[in-house]
Amino acid sequence: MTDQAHNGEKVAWTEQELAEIEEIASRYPSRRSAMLPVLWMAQHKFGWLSLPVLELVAETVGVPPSEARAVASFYTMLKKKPTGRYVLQVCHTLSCALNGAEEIIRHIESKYDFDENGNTPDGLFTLERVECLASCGSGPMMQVGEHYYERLTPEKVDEILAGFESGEPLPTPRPEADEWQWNLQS
Amino acid sequence: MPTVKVNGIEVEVAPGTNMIEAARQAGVDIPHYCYHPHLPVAGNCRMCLVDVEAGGRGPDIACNMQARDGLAIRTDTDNVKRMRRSVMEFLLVNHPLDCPICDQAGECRLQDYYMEHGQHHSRLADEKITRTKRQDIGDLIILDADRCIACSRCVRFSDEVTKTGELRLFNRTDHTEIGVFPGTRLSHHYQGCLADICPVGALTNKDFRFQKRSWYLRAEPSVCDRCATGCNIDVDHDHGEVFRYRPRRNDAVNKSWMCDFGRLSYKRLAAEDRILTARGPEGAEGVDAVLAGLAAAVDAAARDHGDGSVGLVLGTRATNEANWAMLRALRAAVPGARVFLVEGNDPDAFDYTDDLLVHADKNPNTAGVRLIAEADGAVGDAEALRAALADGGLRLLLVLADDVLARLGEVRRPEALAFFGTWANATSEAARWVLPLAAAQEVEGSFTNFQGRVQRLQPAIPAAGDSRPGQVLAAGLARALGEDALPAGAAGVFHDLAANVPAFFGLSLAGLGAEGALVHREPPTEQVAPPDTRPAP
Ligand code: SF4
Ligand code: SF4
Ligand code: FES
Ligand code: FES
Repeated sequence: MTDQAHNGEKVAWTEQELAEIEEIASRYPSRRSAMLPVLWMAQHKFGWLSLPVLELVAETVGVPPSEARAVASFYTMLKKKPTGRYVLQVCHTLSCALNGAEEIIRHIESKYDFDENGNTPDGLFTLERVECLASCGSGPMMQVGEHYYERLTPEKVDEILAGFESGEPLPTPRPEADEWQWNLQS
Repeated sequence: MPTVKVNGIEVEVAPGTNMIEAARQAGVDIPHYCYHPHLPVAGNCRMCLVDVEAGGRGPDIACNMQARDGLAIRTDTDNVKRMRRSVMEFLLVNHPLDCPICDQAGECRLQDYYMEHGQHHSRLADEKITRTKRQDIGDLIILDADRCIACSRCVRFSDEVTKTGELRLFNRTDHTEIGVFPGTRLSHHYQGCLADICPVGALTNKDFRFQKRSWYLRAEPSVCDRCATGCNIDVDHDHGEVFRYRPRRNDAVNKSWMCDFGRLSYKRLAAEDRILTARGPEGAEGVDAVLAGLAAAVDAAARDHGDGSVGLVLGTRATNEANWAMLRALRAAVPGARVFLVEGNDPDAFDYTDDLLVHADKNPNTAGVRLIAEADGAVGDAEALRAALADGGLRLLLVLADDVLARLGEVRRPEALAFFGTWANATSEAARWVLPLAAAQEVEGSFTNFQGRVQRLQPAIPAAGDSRPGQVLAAGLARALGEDALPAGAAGVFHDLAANVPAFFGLSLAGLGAEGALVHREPPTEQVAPPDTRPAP
C-alpha cells in the first residue's frame, strides 16, 4: 500500500457514494465488472486517479490494486496525472490539421507556460492533443469539458480563454470541476 | 478419445487435450510463449499459429484448439514458417537485445525461436520504446520490463496459483509494460516460479542471477526434502556444485511449482553445519571405526542390561530405506531393542505453511516412517520414549536424522547417544557417536510424501565428505554387530521393505517411475500439524 495521500488528503467515499457503488455492482454478475464505472466516479470525485485513489477503487471493487492501475492505464480518458480546471482538448487529426489545428495549438502554447504534463502553473489549464472528435466539418475544434468549440481562430481562442480566466463557468455543467482541490504539487 | 492428425501423423489423445499437447504426443514441437500446461490459456503471443488442414478453419492458435475427431493441423508449411517469422519480428521490435548481460541467455525462448524461426534483420527505423530495467520487486525477483514480451504468464500465475494478483500489464499496445503496483512488492513464497515460467529474461531469480551461465549446468532429477509434500525437483549442478533447484513437473504432486524455501534449500547441501565426518568418543575417526565402537557399546549394553536398554528412534527426515535398514539391523542383533518414532518439526524447519504446497509437517518421510512403525507393531511414540528415558532403563539410544532431543524438549538424557544425521543440531551435539548421513539429493532411495506417494531418489550429486546413505551406514552397523545376512543396497532394502510392510506390497524402487506410486491405503486427506517444538523466537 502506498502511504501517499491524494492532493494531500486521505481518500474515502461518502456513505451516499458507497450506496451508489453497491447499486452499480449489483448490475453485474461479478463485482469486478464495476471497475470502469467506479473509476469514472472516482475521477469525477477526485479530479484524477492518483495511486491512493486507485487503491481505494481496487479495494471497493475487491481486486488487487495492480488491476485498478492496469485498467486505468489502458484508457486515455481516465487521467493518471492531475489536470487543470479547464482541459483544452484540441483535435489534431486530418480535417482539423488541414484547417490549421497546429496554428491553434501553437497559439495556445504561446499564451501560457505549460509544464511537461501540459498544465499551467496556476492549475487553470491543461492542453491536450487529441484525435478526431467527429466534428471534422467544423475544424479546427477543441473540446472543453463536454462542450465543443468549433471553427477556431486565434482570436476566438483568445476570447474563450479570457472567459475561463475570469472564472466563467463551463458551458456544460461539470459540478466536480468547481469542487475539487486545486493542488498540482502531489 | 479424439483422434487428430499433426503433419500427417495420427495420434489419439485424451479429451480436452489442446493441439500443442497433441502435437507433443505426435513428436512435433509447436513453439509457444504464453501457453503453460498449468495456467489458463491466454492465446496472446500468437507464436503457436498453425495451418488447419481439416476439421476447422485456419490459421489458428494451437494452444486454444481442443483436439476433436477429424481435426488435422500442419506446422511444416511455408505459411506457418512465415507466420512464426512475423511473430518473432514483432516480438523483437522493441526488445533491448541485451543477451550478453542477460541471465536468461541459454534458456531463453526468444533466443531459441529466433534461431529457429526468426533470423531476420531489424527493419525498425524508429527509436525503440524502452521500459524500466532492473526493478527489485520481490525477495527473489528482479524485473527487467524491457525484455518482457507481454505473454502474461506471470500475471496468470499470480492470479490463479498464488492468488495474490501483484503483477499486471499496464498501458496499451507497444507501450504495454509489465509491473507491480508502485510501492508494492511480491508478497508470496513462490517467487522463484515466476523466473521459471517467464519465457524470457524479464523475471530472473536474484539468488541465481549472474552465478552461472545455464549451459554449464547439468540437471539431475530429485525430490525436495524440506516438507512432507516432496516436490519433484531438478538439481542443477556443475561437477557436483549445486547452483539451484528447479521444480520438475509432477502433476500429481507439485505440478510445475515449488516454494521458495525448498528452492533455496540447495544451499544446505554445502552449508557450514553439514556433518561431513564420523565422530566417536575419541574425536574424528573413520566411519567404520565409529560404527565398530558403537556396535561394541550396543553389544555391551544388551549384554549387561538387557535388550531393552538399547533403543532406536526412527527418522522422519530419513529415507524409507535408511529407516528400514536401521530397524532391521538393530532388531536382528538386539531383538528386544526398543524402537520409537517422535513426530514434530526440528528447530531448523522453516516457519510457513499454506494450502498450495507447503505442508505443516516439515519432514519429507513422516508418512513412510509411520507405515514402517505400524508394520513393526512395537514402535513407541514421544511419550513412550520420555517414559523410557525417565526411568533410566534406556541407556543407549540411536537416533536417525531427526533432532529428537529438540523435539522432546526437557527430558532426562540417555547415558549414551548415537546420531546418524546430515546437519549438526542439539542431538548431534549431545551424541557420543556421530555418523554422517548423506543428504536426500545424494542418495538412492525413496520418501513417502503426505499423500502416501512413494517417490524415488537417485543420487544427483556425489555424497559430501564421508557421508553415506542410511542403508549403507545401517549395513555397516549390522556387519559390526555380526549380522551379515541383511540386504544391502537401496533396491534390496526396498524389496525387503515391500515384502514386510503391507502398505508397500508389490512396489519396487525401480518401478516407482517419474511420478511415484501410492501406497496401498487411503492417505490422510487432511493436513495434520505436528506439535511445534521450535523454540520461541
Ligand atoms: S514478465 Fe515474462 S512472464 Fe511476465 S508477461 Fe513478461 S514475458 Fe511474460
Ligand atoms: S512445498 Fe515442501 S517439498 Fe515443495 S519445495 Fe517447498 S519445502 Fe520443498
Ligand atoms: S479531424 Fe478534428 S474533429 Fe475530426
Ligand atoms: S501459445 Fe498459443 S497464442 Fe501463445
